[in-house]
Amino acid sequence: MTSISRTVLLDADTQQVRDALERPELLSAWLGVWTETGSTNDAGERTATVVTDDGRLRDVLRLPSTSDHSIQWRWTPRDDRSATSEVRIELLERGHQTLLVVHEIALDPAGGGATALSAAPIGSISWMPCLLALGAVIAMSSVALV
Amino acid sequence: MKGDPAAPGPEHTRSTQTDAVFAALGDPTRRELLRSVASGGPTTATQLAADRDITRQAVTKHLAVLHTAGLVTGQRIGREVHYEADPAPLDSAVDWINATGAAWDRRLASLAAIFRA
Repeated sequence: MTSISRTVLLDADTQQVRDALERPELLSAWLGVWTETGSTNDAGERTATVVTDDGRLRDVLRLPSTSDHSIQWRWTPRDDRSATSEVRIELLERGHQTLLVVHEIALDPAGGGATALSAAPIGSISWMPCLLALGAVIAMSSVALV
Repeated sequence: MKGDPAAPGPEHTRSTQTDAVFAALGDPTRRELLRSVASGGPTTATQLAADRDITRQAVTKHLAVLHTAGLVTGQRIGREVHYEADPAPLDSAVDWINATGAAWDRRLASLAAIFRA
């Protein structure tokens, strides 16, 4: 499983940040042109599209929130259906500010990885040891194989 | 892997290959075996087992996982398969990490700018 994590401290309270992550007109101001394409289904999911700043059109499946301080969606570029990934965003209060933590995790296009991930809390995603190993192997390979 | 190792088929997408790479590297014994294969050149399961406190069969199983991930290639010479390391599968994982991380750096900078305005 491949993933990245980023954090940013924002000069806004968690509700303002949550609005920026949920309202289409605000999402369009920083993430890309966001268009809601469907209503919420029985599972609490809803669909959208977004054109991100790299020009890619992505189909988005907004997943039900597990708490007031988390948001997650799964998105797939139209030009590469095998590249589905899951975005999980946590909002943590820091006084009058909000610490936003985003994780993006590449998923198995067959769906097995997605199923497993849906039940896994963010803290259980142990990608760092693999990444460290990856770096070690890359360094090793560049010396030994090139 | 039994008999001649086969190259990963075309159905292996970038994502599944990346998953296989990370799964293969998640085991310390496989990382150590890969390091040995990469630094020591073509080698066999018998030679790798001789330097370790594990059986040839166990080494063969680990090499099969590395082979499925595309991290080693094998060539049968006589009765033995000679393995070589192949770093190419790491490229897709590194590319994804770099591109996705850079994209989020840009997006979060835009988001922060909204609240500074």
